[in-house]
Amino acid sequence: MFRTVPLKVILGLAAAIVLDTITQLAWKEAVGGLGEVSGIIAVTLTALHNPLFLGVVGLMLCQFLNWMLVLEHSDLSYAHAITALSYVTVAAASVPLLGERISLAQGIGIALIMAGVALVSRTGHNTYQPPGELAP
Amino acid sequence: MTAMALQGIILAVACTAMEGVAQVFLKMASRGQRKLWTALGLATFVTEAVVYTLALQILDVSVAYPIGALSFVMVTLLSQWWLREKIDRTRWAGVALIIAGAALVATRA
Repeated sequence: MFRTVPLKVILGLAAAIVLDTITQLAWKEAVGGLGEVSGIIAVTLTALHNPLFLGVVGLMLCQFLNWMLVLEHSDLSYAHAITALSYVTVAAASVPLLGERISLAQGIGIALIMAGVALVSRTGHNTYQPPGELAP
Repeated sequence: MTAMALQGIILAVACTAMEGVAQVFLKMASRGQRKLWTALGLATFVTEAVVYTLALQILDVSVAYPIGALSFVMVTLLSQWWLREKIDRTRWAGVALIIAGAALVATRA
């Protein structure tokens, strides 16, 4: 698995998964701090004064910049599928951090995602051949 | 299924298509005309967020979120057709497992 993938792609994908996991958990925590506020404008104004929400926006920016770097060196269909691992990491991290529980169905889902990512990782990470270039 | 629920599902599925298109735009940015494709990608993501909000006004999150797993199909199909990436059987099998798994994990929603 990942034997022919450049280190920068592996690190970029790992960063994408970690950033997505932290973003999801922080977002969930930030939403919980909104209290009884309702309405798009009121929620937006409250969120703009919430350091955790601003942190989430910063994480999203980091995620976007990292994702653009990953796409420089990898197929979209490859990288996007690999980042499905964030479903696994978010579910796993939410147990100790948010006190949530993983059901049997979710456990099976996690196993299926890991098997799927393992299969995708066995395929070529960059299959696009620009017009006019010969395949290796 | 009520007409309202069907409308919500259509909106949620449309979001997965927009996710695929937005991702393709960002990938196109790596091949040239970076500013144009990046702007189109971000605009599509914002539109998706608005449409998803509308979908959530109709559907429970437990219904809308698993539908989001379809974005893996959309991204793979668009990568093959639009970006000319080679999607072999192994990658399709992996995507199928991921979709099934994501739908199961999303039962927490």
